[in-house]
Amino acid sequence: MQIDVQSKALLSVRDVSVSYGKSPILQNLSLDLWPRQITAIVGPNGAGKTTLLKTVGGLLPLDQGSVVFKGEPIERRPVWEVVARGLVYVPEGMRVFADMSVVENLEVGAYLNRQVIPKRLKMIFELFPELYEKKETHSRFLSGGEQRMVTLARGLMSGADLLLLDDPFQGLSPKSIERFSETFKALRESGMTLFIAGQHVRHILDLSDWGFLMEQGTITLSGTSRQFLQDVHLQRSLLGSAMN
Amino acid sequence: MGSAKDEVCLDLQNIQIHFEQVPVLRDINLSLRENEIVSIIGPNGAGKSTLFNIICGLTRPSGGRVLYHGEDITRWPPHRICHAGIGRTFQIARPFAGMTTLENVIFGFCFGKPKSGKCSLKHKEALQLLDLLQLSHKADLPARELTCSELRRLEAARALATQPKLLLLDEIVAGFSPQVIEQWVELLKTLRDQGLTLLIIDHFLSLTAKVSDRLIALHHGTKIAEGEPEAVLACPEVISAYLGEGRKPYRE
Repeated sequence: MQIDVQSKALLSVRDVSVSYGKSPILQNLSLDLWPRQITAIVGPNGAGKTTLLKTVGGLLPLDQGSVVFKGEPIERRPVWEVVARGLVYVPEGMRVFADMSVVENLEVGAYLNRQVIPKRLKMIFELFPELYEKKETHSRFLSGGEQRMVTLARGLMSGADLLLLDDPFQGLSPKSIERFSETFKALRESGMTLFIAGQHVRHILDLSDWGFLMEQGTITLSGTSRQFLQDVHLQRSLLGSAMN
Repeated sequence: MGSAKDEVCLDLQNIQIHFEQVPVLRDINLSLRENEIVSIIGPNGAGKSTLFNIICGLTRPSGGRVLYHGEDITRWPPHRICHAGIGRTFQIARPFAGMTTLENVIFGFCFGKPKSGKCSLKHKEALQLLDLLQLSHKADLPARELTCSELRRLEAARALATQPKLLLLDEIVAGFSPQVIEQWVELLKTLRDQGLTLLIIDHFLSLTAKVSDRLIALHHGTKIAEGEPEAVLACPEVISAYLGEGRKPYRE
């Protein structure tokens, strides 16, 4: 299902180039994200997926190109304004406020939209009772995987229209991955749009509607997730014999 | 007398620890034979990394003993345990950010063993390790400029530079593409062929189930299963606590 009316895209990235110093990372990259869909972006380590997400989220300056969200350019807007417009980037790894409790970390996620805090906290704690058990614990005392859960859950607190998730399953147990996958699907049903980058290729494509393959700073393949998993180029580029 | 391979390398006896009265590990017994590959699996927060911290001396257990080749090392400081031949990587890479990649590895060579000799003589060995971990092209860059996956490889290079006999790897392939994980499977087998004993924490069954002789499953600080990978992954308690009920059984 390809929709080619640009005005309907929730996010349009056009001819974006980004470099670190003299090293070009993204080169004339364009893509669209459609509302109420989960879109995956996969690719080898170092392809530029994190750079793309950070650029869209307003955390990195671009050399050229445009990022249009809900019909308005956001590529020169400060991060807080991008967040206020409903676009939130959830970083990879464990990025918690170490001296704050679990519940305080979660509340920060809804800082610009505080009236949703009680409702969303309830949702998070229902999904992840282990976080409820530790809600008053300082985040520095959590295990790596639990910090990862808090990082993700804090993103879910925001109530954003578009969530950019950077390698969301990294360091999570298979069971936690399953629960987050179900949550992401439920968020899509409730009207949210998700853009997921990461290395759990099968898991991510399984829950996505549309997928992009990124290699060396450009998009080299796009298609429905189903087409994607069967694509020979993708298998060769990314999966090796792990596909079988 | 058994062969060298049957010799017990690491023996954890009744390890217990609690943080602020909350038990984190309860009565853990675990034996590793020389040249074995064993992986610890379990839900997030099960106590896996804490167990690593106890083995390498960063955390004192509240009870129990850690024996390394029969010697009680429970109260040894980390540097002494490293000198004795136990190396480790951390879940969150901790390089010296301002030093180059090469210098970070040389540092491991110089301080990983007592009387290691002059640092200036370690260039060649360090470069060989960077080569093994496909980091040679980043040798002269400060570690702070490496990507997440490069930092993990540097973490492994630094640990190997201490010339360990027992290597503890904490989520070394997190964030790697499936193809890179396959390369790691081969790398770990190579390290075992070179005589190392490996204890691994990882959530990628495509790594742990493939390389390990045994899996040990922890849940809420208790050992709930131990044995050959296939048997452990089929254990109902492991499925319910770790794998999730909806999951298809693991097949190699």
